[in-house]
Amino acid sequence: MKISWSPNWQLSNELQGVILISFSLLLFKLFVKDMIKMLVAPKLVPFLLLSMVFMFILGFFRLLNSNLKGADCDCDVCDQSTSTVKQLLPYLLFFSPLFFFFTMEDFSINKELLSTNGYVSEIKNNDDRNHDANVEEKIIVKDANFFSVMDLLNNQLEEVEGKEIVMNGYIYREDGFKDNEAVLARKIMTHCVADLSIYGYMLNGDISKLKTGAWYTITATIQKKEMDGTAMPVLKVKKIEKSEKPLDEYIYDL
Amino acid sequence: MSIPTSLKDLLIFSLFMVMVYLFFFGDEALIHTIGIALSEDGKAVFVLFLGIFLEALPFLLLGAFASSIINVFVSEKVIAKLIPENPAAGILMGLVVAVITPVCECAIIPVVRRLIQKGVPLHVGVVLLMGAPILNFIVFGSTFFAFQNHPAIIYGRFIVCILSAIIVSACIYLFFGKDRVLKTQREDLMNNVQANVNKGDSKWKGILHHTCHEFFAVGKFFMIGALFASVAQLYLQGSAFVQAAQNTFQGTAVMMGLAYLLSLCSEADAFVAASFSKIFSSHAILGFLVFGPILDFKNTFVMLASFKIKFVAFFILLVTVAVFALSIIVGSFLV
Repeated sequence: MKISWSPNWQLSNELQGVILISFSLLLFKLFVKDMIKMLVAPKLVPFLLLSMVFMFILGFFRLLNSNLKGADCDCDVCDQSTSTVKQLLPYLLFFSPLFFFFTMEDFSINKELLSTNGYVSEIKNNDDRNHDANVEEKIIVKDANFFSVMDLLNNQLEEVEGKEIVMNGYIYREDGFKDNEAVLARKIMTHCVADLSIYGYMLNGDISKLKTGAWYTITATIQKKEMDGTAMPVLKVKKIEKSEKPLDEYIYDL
Repeated sequence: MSIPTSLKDLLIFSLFMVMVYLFFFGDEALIHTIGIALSEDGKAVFVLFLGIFLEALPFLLLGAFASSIINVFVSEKVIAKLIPENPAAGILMGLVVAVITPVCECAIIPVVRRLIQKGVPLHVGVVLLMGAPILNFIVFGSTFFAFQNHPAIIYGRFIVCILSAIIVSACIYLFFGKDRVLKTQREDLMNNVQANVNKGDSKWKGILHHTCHEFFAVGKFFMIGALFASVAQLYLQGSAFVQAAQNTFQGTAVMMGLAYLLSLCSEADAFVAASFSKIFSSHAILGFLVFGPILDFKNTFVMLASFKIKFVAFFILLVTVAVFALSIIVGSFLV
């Protein structure tokens, strides 16, 4: 029986095709299971969907035309001198992460990655925002108005002092915190999971029994507190309700 | 080197089926059955890794696609014809060409090598080598996207890059002049054997194949870089290393070292830099954003493959000094 032989570069072209198709399948899976928002901000999702389609087409093209027939291509892929191992080993760099990416189900980060950076409770005065907005008696913090409320509390503290605020968040304590000090915090994502940061407000009152990392809906009164010469908002706790981790764990900036 | 076709087909088909199986049935239970359960930290590394990879993916694909269009439609001869004789004009021209070539650092070294072989002067090649990875629209787009709230970083990155390219190029012109710095000269090209017998003239097929080739050529280094970056993300914070960040000089040196080690693609490093911007000063971020694309762990090897070691050592030294000084000076002006 005569054995037909294929050059190594043809195998590596076909491996590339399989990898491209696999990545587009991975994107599709993440998108369908709605987990893509745990990894990147929603503004990047349209670009990723385009990439998904492009990679799918490109992968099949590469797989089915792996002999480079008819292409005007002068790249160094057809270099026959590199050894099999050296040529094929790099593809392990793609297949092994793919294996883990496909099998992961929970994309939340449990470890307090950003513990040393501290939480953020100030945002700069943004002139584009409307400062004449009517301040309601009771401020309910939702994902959509998280930043405008934070802006309000930082820049118009006098006006909102004494008003009631309802916010859902988790309890965050820094390393040096005592039991009766805590921050009611949310995680903010700007682009991807690598730039997560913690935004929140200091709590005041009987909070020593609140568990670090647990989620609560807290009703409180806004107070002003001087700290190192600057006024910052502090929430005087009135009512504590246990709550579940929200469906959208992160709030997206911009 | 070759392998039996039937073996190759079997391998590809089974790999494809494994991927399809993982797509439909891959879950945590599967991982436990196989017995490679990841620790909490290991999982966090992979989550960060996937996050960094996904946000860079559209830019990687776009870069590969754009550079292969140029590769197929714009020949080196055309570019070389446009470069003037006068060194100052040459440097200026190099900057202009750098702006219109949308390739990142892994792709530019072979291009520059080929340009120098075809007669482009060395100092112009150096400008291209330093400018092309940063001065292009894709990198501008990703930097703009990542630093929307800090426009100073966006402009600073391009200013520092242009200034250091001019300085390094002038030094190279003075010290090396018309020395031969390449390992293989023009004559060696003549006995290059074409291995692909199927070569045809379909340009669009060429573009698609070249996009794939470029994507993987860059991608394998990107995977390593992203993995390093996610491990660094997890463990560097809180260490004494980060304490150095408070000092402008130490912080800039540390970030430049990090840029060298992480070896991120210039099309995606802005996002990584943005995640560091909470800890480090803007001088350090500028150093990271300019030094990383020009020089890093992976492209040092690529350079050593093309250029003589004396030239590479001199180039690394010059670039390091120029970028360090300029990042601190420009950083102080902008902030």
